[in-house]
Amino acid sequence: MGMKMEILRAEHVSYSYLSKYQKVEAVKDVSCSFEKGRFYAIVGESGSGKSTFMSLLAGLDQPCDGTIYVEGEPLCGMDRDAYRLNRAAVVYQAFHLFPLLTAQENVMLPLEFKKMRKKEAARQAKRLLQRMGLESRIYRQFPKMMSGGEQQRVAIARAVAAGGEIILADEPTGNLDSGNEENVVALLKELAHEDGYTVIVITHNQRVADETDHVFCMRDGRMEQVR
Amino acid sequence: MMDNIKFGKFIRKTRHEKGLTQKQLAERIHVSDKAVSKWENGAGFPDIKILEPLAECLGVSLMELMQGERIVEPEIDRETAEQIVAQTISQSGQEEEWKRRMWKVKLLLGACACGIIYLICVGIRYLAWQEKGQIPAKLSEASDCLWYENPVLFYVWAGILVILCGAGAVYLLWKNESIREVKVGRQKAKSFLTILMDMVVVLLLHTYLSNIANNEQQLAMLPEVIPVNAYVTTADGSRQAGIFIKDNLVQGLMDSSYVDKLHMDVRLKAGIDRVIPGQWNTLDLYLEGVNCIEVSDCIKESDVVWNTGEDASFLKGTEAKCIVSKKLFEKKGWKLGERVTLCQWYYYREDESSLELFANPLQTMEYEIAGYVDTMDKWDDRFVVPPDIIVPFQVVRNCYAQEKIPFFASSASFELTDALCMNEFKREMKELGFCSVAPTVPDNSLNGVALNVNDAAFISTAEHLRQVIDTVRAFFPFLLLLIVGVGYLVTLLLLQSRKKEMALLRSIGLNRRKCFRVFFMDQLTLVVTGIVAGSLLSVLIQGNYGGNSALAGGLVGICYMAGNSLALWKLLKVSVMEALFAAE
Repeated sequence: MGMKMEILRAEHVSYSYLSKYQKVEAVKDVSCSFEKGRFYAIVGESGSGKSTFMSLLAGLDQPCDGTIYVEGEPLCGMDRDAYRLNRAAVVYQAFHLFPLLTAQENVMLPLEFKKMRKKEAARQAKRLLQRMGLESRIYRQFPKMMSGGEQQRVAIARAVAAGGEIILADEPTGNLDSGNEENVVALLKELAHEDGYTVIVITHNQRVADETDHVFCMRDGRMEQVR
Repeated sequence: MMDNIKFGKFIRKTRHEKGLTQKQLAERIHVSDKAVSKWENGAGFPDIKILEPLAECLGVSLMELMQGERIVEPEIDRETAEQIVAQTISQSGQEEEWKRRMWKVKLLLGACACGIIYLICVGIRYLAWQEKGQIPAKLSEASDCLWYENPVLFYVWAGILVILCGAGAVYLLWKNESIREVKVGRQKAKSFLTILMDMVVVLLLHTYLSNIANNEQQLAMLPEVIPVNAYVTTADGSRQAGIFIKDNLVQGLMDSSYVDKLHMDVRLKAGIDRVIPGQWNTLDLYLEGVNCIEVSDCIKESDVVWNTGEDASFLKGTEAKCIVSKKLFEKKGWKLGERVTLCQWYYYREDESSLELFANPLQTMEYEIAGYVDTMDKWDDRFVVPPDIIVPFQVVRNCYAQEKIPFFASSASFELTDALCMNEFKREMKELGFCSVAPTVPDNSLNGVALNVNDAAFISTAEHLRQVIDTVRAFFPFLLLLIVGVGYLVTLLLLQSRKKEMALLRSIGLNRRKCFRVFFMDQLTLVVTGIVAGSLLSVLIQGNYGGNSALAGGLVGICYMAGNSLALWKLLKVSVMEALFAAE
């Protein structure tokens, strides 16, 4: 394996919020870095701060202390909406596809936000859905007509559509059976190793963690690298 | 397609190599640092004119910049070069086209907003015109006027303009902006409810505005329905004919703009050819000077047998003509058009409090017989005997002036031009010298100094209408606030279930402002549909093709969308983390 470039780096990141008059320190002084083309897992018990840390990496909120760098540039100085549109994408446990859009339209969405013409966006969306191993009959189906595995693959295709470099997945296999779980994990691994994405997954599942290149463990808001 | 990300990364990399910050690079090529940040994040592409100076600043060739990487081979083939250039031009062109399209959208939306505001202003103006009865009764009459003179045509053109602009803006946005993901047509139930709610609100507001307009119209038409008339009387109101009304009061009534259909007369005695003092049988005729034939309720113009070419209009002027009684006409064997000499004597009192009348010679004048009338015997009983001869009022008045004798009219009655200006009218009459009738204070003189105004019915009805209008109008600001509230609540309730969609759009990379615009346009489409349907329905139900429908539609549009916008902004404050991430 050659030298991989660092793409994300968190330096002494902390985050806290008020919950019913009590201050909760969800993330405490976390420092870590992520390289291009690697597959990472963040494991930990419920309430350890994994999802909160992931949302900070996604730019959905700003840390109270510390800085997150994206290829050397501080995330707080960027347009975080543009960051999520162009560089980082999130995949959710509950898939979160738009219920009134077909699979193809869901994948076209980020492309349309980037002002791509409809025909070109449709073409690219089809290519991505094919890449995810989905049959053509799925393209025009609404999410409620798809299985969990199919929905998650559409969600991953949508995440990849914008052409970013980072995929953040929050329990992507949490709602899937073991067969679909393997497919999705294999897909994420392929995106990391072959397409050069930095894929970071939050998981409780040891089988999923075993497939990754590196594992971080979060406990009570603090992180340590296990592998 | 040219990869924006690759391009952006290349700019960042070469910028770092040059040791420049985004701001420094921006300053060198005369753009904003935000533009540089946009390019580096892949969110935009520079204008084609900036590529060369950008390449120069970064120390790369134009081809390398367009390709997004350093070119290792010393030369690239022509075909590859043309492909790269074509892609770059296409990419830049797309950006330009997007900016042009957004300008068109902004222009169209601006025109639409101006059109709506204009419609509301014209609507208000239209109601004012309607009050004054200046609106043609039928639309077909409208075509006779120039389009800008007629409010109905104005409305039609303005309405068409607004609809076209609005449709154009929605079409342009729909074509290229990301509003399709909300899919208005697929949210059938919620869309239908929003449209229905708007229709109902428009109907209610239209009914409210029509109610005010109808009452105001009734109030404006009240003087015609309940005319207010007045007549001059003695101070106690006991006499209204055969009294002495001073010349200054007469002139004041003639000059007043509040007085309409003024009927006056002056009573004289007369003899034919000459009057011999002591032989009072030679002064046995009653002569009356009137300013119009309607002074007497009994005689109509059609009752008079006129000389050829004559009518009653001479009574308004100073021509020396007369109408005689048929009895006198036949007795004297006169012919129509014949000139007769009349010795006119006027009545006077020795002092103003006296009831005893005396007569003195006034002037002898020649009159041409314009006609005779057979209905003198049916003269109404107003404490006086019917006249034998009727002459113009002003002719008699001029005789007084020529002889320097103080003139007194015998009776005066009139209608008010605008009963709604009652207060101004009474003030003016008081300044002239008239007083109000005081029936409890007996007056044994013949001085015509009081005005009896029959305004009780009018005032009572007008006050009632005015009260109704003021009460209903007072609710107007609350009604508008209520519509804002309805817009807020309905949107909040119907879109509650779509908070996750909003969070998802935010997480994909749509910023809050754009997200707001997406849902706003979605709601605006539905609201406009509801307003148009509601306005058409209100026109059908109320039969009013005019201002109230458009005014109601415009007001509902603005207030409802204001509430809608507040609700949208509140909903968009959803925490993406809480909405989308798995519960910890």
